[in-house]
Amino acid sequence: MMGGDAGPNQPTDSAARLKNFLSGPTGGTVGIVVSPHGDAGTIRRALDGDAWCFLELDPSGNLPDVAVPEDTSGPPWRQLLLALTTGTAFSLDGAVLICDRLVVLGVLADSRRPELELAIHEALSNAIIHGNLGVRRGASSDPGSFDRFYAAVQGALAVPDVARRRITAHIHWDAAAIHVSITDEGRGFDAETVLTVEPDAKSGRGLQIIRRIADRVAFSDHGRCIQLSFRR
Amino acid sequence: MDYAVQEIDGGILVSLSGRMTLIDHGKFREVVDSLERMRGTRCVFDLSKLEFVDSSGLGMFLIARDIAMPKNVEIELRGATEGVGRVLEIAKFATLFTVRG
Repeated sequence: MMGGDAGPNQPTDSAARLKNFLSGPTGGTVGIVVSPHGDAGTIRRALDGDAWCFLELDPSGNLPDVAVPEDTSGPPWRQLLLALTTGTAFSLDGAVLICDRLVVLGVLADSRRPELELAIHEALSNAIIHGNLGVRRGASSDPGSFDRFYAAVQGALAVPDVARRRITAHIHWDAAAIHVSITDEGRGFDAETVLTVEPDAKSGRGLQIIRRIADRVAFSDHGRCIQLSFRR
Repeated sequence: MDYAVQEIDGGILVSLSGRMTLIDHGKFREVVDSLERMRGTRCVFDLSKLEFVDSSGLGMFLIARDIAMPKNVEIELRGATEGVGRVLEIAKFATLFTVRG
């Protein structure tokens, strides 16, 4: 669903929906970039050009079915939203792109950047690998287990309907905190069942890391959405 | 991630640089191969040029530890930057490795 009013004659064609949205109350220049190319360079150029929202079209040219909130705050904007296919999200360092932009905007202090980048990276990795790709088991003590784990990831990415699943990262901030929501389209999981891992565990420690760094962690949509807050 | 292995007195020095994430598992297998072939009882990882390590990277270090222990090889993680050092602290790696500044 795009921002803007949904009427009885809501166009189903993606391009027409987008045109309606951009013609709505916020006008033409709304800081939204829609692109068939989700590579790091295209995204970075969009953000450097003061876009706050980057929507990657899927291979069929369809817009992502995400709620794009209206933003009349800027520029400068007070939020970022990236909606990417899983294939694209896996291929790039999304946390680096996000944190680079937050530092440029003066939202994220350099001293806080390493921890936030790690927490966002782990949340994105979980959403991509365990969420959308459905690869549940991580590496074990066997040195070859990482090879097999990576092969399972590559195998899932090779399935078109899996690779086109969406990863959405929405970041917004206020004077007190930076709020990050990462959403996937996987089967979901029960976060309460993810127990503390032992220090010598070879996998499964991503959520533990996130919980140590973020000031607040919450889940919704049956585990498909993780919401993090970080004091500024 | 990039790496370099050199022999030192009593073992090997492995210098890591860049970012260490899941996609580096192949390269880290090569590091583990060096550890399996090494002589001596010391394996020092120089982390001074390692910019980032995630949970997958931590798992790779632990696999190296599993290889080292039966060989009585002590693994030392040395010179971590502030960001990487914080990750090692969160993971309580000082209980499993010799961690030096």
